[in-house]
Amino acid sequence: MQEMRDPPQRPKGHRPYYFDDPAIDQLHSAVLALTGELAVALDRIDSLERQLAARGVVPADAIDSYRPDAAASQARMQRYTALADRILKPFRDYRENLFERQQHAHKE
Amino acid sequence: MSSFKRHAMVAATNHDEQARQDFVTAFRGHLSGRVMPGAYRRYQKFVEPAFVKAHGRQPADQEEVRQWMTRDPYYQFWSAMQRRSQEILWDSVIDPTERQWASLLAKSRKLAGKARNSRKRGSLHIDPQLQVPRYHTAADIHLQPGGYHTDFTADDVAAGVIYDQGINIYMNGALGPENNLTGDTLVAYLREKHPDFKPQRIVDMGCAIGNSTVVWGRAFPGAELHGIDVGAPVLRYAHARAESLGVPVHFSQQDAEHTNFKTGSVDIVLSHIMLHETSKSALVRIMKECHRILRPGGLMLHLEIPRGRDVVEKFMHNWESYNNNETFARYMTNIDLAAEAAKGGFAADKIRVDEFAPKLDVAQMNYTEHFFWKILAAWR
Repeated sequence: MQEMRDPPQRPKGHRPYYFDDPAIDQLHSAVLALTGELAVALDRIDSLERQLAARGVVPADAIDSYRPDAAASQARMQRYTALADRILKPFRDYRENLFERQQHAHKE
Repeated sequence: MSSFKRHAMVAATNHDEQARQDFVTAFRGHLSGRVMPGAYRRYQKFVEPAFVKAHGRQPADQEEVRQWMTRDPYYQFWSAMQRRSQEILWDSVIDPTERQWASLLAKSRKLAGKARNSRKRGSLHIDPQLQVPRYHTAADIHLQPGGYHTDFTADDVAAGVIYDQGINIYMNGALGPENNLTGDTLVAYLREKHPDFKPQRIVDMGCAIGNSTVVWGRAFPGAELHGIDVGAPVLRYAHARAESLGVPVHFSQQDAEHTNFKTGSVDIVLSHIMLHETSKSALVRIMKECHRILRPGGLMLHLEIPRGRDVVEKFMHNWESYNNNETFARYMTNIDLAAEAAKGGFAADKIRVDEFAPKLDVAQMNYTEHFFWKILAAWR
């Protein structure tokens, strides 16, 4: 097996930042990458729906006309909450930490 | 979605890899077509008036525009997105290349082997002693990790695979199915200005993956065609690619500042968007070298990217220089190409600089709504 060196993850050279706080640049970069990954996921769903329709498994309008029943809706609501908890955890942590620090400051 | 031709050396994409490439193509088209023009409007409506108010005069040059525009929030947002799109672009091409690395290497070896056993085919000469110039090694041009020149394995071709697909996405497909736009442009220029000139020996400098070189091979099938570059992996790829496309080209790893071509031995020496990736001192040496290798009556042709007509366009064209590792490009704004050719030994009355507008959509232009190639032509 031929030896292959891992190519670098970043190009050589200075990486410019555009906003006063580099954290904004990082957030901006992450959102754009996330948008790309969302496009990939949407394409996958689209491919899946088209394949299912082409094979007559799920008719083309079945997804658009589908309405979840009460149990399915309930399961979805729980999933939204869990998802928001996971994804927005850093924001929540920051808010809580801010609150604790302020309480601490008030005590002093 | 893309018209990019899937020749033998292209890294095939699976479903998600293709979706990533399509997304970045569409995203860059969105930035160029919808977001970038707003930077010009911001300048006209807000930045320039603010500058005039503060200084009582218009900005004198692109550097003064730069000091003000880089503080404009619209420009900052566009820049951050443009920079990120370039990083995502490479990621989208690197993934399928790494996944198929071993098979791409095997394919390139097979194609090179076939070429060695046939007199009708091209050739490849790699020079392991060649010193890659600092303007390549100091920063990875266009942010492609490893640039044109880094081997990550023996007989590597990955840099070429990545570059070929990457530049096609970069220009939103405008480079054509075989990234042939730059070669087509120079061939069209030659045919229009000098229809009777039939070169027998052609040298394409800084040929990288040989996308333009192959265009010349197709335009002048009887000519002896050479492509030189400092990057070994792009040359190996160029060789395999040209063989798979059936165009015989002799590729060799050489520095355009000092080649091994005999004095007065070449009919036409070319480069396609290479000069702005060199350096001030290299530029003169390249002109001298072109002058040396050309026969009397031979022609030098260099295609260059636009540098803008007014201070704000000049500033916008320099975005690549500050944000996409085209380190030398910013100095090209004020360089007089004709004067450089004269320093290289060409007679002043044998030099001309022309502009040539390709048919592009604004979504394919990246930094401008007015795109003109610059063509430096000089007769020996």
